[in-house]
Amino acid sequence: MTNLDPHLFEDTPLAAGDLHRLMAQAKAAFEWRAAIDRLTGEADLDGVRVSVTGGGAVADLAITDAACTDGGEALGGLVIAAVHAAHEDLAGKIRSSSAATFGEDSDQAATVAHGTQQRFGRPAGLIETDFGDSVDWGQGPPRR
Amino acid sequence: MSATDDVEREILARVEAQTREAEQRPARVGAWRDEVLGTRGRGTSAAGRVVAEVDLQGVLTGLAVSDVVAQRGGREAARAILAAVTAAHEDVRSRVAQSSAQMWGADSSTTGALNAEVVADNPLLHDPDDGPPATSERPEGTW
Repeated sequence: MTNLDPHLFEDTPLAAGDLHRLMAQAKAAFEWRAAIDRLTGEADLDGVRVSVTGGGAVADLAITDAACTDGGEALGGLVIAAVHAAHEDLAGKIRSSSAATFGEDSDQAATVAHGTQQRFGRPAGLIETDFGDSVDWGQGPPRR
Repeated sequence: MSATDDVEREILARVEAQTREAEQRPARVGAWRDEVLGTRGRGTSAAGRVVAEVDLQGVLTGLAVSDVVAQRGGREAARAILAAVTAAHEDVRSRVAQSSAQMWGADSSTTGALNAEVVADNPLLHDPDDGPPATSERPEGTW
């Protein structure tokens, strides 16, 4: 993803006035953040295909008819599981990128790993909703 | 009582008010920050038959899909879910913008910076208003 020298972020004492190194670190961090924003996470699970943005928002979704045959609650569960899998895919890419950029044992990589766990570690839940009477949208497929 | 005493009293009162405000401000800012961090956006589509919730960072936190929407097949269900998620992102943007404007002012740099972050995390990638389809015939549902 980047050709940065991971030694840039080694924990060595800075010489007085080592402004150049600090500025290089800040620039590298900004470039890394911009690269992360361009990542996507993908998953294809049980008839549900999901992609998420670099921030984890659902970007695209495709669902087979087969995934719909057990009703809305089951479908909601499948979508939630697929979104979580896409988040795990994204988190893995982010962690790999930070290790390559900052060094695998660096404080920065550890912070990023913790941050991705906080942001993507828990799957969404089903919202309990009483949908009440059905809405007439026209003919639907016969339930298999 | 002289005019000088009145001026002094007025200045003292103003200083006391500013001191009180300065003492209370950290607590108000902290409360506002907690409120923003706990922001949840909620969006619906298909006449309320799909409900989606996202957190401040636009990450899906909840979903409900009715049997009626599932019956329409995969393509319609996906469109409705994406519409609900987009509506939830809109809700987050609106809540944070309103809260920040009330706290810091609509034109403040703080409001601008926060709104920019929230907008980036809550993209409007799909039409939030999917509505019922114009035709009663079920389109092909598989991708």
